[in-house]
Amino acid sequence: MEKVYLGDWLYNAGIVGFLNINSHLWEIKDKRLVSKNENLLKFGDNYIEFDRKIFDGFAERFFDYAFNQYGRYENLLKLFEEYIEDLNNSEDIENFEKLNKKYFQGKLKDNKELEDKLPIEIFDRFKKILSGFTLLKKKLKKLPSKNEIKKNKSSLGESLQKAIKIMKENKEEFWESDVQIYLRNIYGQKSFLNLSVNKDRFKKFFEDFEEPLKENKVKKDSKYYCISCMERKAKKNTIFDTGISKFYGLNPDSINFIWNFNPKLPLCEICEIIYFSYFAGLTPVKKDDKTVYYFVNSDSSIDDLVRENQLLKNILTTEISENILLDFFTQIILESSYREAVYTLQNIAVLELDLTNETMPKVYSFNLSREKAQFLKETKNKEDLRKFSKNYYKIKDTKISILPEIMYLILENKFYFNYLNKLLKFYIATQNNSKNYETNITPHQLQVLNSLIFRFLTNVIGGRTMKISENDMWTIYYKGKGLADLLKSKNAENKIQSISYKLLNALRIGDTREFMDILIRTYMAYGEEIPSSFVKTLSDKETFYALGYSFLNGLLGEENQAKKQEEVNNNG
Amino acid sequence: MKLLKIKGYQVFANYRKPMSFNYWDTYPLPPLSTVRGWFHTVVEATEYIPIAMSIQGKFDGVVQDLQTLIKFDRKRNKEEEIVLEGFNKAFSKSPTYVANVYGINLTIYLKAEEEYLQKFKENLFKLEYPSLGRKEDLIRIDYIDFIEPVEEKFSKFKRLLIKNGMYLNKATADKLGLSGINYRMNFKYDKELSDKAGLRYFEKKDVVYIDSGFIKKGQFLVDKEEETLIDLIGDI
Repeated sequence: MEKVYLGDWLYNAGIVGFLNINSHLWEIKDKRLVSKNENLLKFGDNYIEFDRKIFDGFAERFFDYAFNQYGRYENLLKLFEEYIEDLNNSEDIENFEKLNKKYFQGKLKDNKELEDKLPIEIFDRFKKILSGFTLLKKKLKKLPSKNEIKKNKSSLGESLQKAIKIMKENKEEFWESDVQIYLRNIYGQKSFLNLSVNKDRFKKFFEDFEEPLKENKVKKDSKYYCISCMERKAKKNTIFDTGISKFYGLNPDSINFIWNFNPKLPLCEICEIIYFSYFAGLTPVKKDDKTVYYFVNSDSSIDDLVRENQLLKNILTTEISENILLDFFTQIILESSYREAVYTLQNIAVLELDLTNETMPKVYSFNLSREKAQFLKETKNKEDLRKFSKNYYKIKDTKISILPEIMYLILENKFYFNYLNKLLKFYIATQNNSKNYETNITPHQLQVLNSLIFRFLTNVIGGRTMKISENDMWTIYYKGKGLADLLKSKNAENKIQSISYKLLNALRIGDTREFMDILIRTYMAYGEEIPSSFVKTLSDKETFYALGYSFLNGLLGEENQAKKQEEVNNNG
Repeated sequence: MKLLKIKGYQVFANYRKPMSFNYWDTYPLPPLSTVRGWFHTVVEATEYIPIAMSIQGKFDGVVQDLQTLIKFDRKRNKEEEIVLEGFNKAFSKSPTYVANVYGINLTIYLKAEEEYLQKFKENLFKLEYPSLGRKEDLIRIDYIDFIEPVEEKFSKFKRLLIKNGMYLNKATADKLGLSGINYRMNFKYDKELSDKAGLRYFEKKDVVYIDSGFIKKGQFLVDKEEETLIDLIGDI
């Protein structure tokens, strides 16, 4: 068995890539990474272990992965079919608007113009594609001229049909050549990516890698060990003085980066194939018309590394929102139930790479203080945060999810009672059937949020010693509920709305006197004594907010008995 | 047994992981080889001195910093090019992301033959201002003296809380049932092999970084004053 340990970020990407290429050997079960065949592949905390038999069929899987990731072949087949369909549909007046928008940004006047211009537009696009696709162009041989197409539109359709036919019939050849084109861009010239290799590329890869790896027939260097694992003998003639990748920042010239000015990189065949698999560990995403690649570097464990990259992949491929990384970060915090150390949370970095360029990777990260990381790691906080995963508010037609917003406020140190005020305003508006505002948050959730803010202020922001506890907050919450019940019993339910609104306003501007005034008047009007616990609200601003909002949430709350019981249990 | 205890503070540091180039990643605390190298430099060692250490610390956070790194580059014979004579290379700069740990309070315990520890203590400020991590990551030394650790037995009734981050031997962590981040960390290199190959090949140690937990069983070395565990990693 060969062991491969987590290492630098590119090597880690290589491990993820290697696992992705061999994805038939593992699965994620109950949120853990498990091997389907421990004789071939095993997972340790910070290493993977595999038998050389794993390389059986590796070349094909490697090519398949690159071919699918590149995606050109499938995309073009689809596009050509679309072209044919659009050509056929262009005479039908029903499709005018759609096609006009799709090809001409809606600039055409009528269907007649579309019928004339569409074939030429598609032909131009087709030709442009062919200019970057030599193999297909060569096989297609002659294309009709523009004049021919003007005279006879179907000649373009025939050419497109022919292209599809050629691609389907020669799939294997396209497969080989596309993989080479794609990876050469990323890795430079190595093995089958060498410029002089223009046929039997798969065979070359098979002979260079799969076979010698599987049979353990790689010739070893007599002098050098592998600089990466430092355990295995280096492969003969594999001094990587050209570096591992274009953007890795290591090349024979940057000698001041290396100990003793010696930029030699002897690698063993195992570390070499790991590095050679890194493309498969990255997630490609279209951004501003070009493809960039994302990778989360996490070194806490193999399990985290693989799962976090899967999570990122899921988010990147399903959601296109501006806040991709915030969404990712939010989920990563909520899903990782077994983060081993606060440091791992503090050190999550997402790398964005432009592989075709020698530019440096961009690093995105969130700066988390130790206290904040601890706050987010705390099970209770995590559970409470998770309660907001389906909540939103709407201002007119704009819908905003609450959880990412909370996370953003936490990261920015802006998580404060004013956010609670905003949500309460939306809640009260929703109750009044407002046209402009809507939310699905409940008073009980608002009270949970209140507790979270309280905890955040005491544990993370620090320097504040609150004179109250969370229990005090829940006690006051039930006092609020008590008042609501009292009003209901006196047939004064309609008063709740107006009182709440006044209280909300007093809280917004931090007016303790006004707040107490409203309370006293209300309690007195119904012949009740104001609970003594309210004295505490007068002590300082934070206490006032924490307790004031608790009361208001309680007053608004309509909880069933079971939920109330649950809270009592949880909070003693 | 006498240990040399060093306490220090660093505003900012990068404890670079080996092989991280265009994005300089960092360990949470200075790795074994860095501390070992520091010791050997300060005592002006000409050969390897067996050493064991316990590295602990508490830091405020990690930030990613975009820095200009000075690089040697290929000569392209352009007019504006600055050539570094003697190296026959061109001077170039390139932006690079560097992960930095900040606000680090370190406590390091060293075990070696006493004469060397004595020498380390005497020499520490003599050669140059001490740094740990990169050359520019200066360390302010707040305390350096010998201590006598004590052995204590822990149980359900007498527990020890781990308050700071620290590296543990993998075996210790397993024994204690503590989990954290597993690192396979460079410790020392083979000089003979290095001279022969012109490259440093390191002997590695399996360590676990943990930053919280309880010790509920077993007998361990403790620094009474700090109430911390001392788990020496090394070869004596």
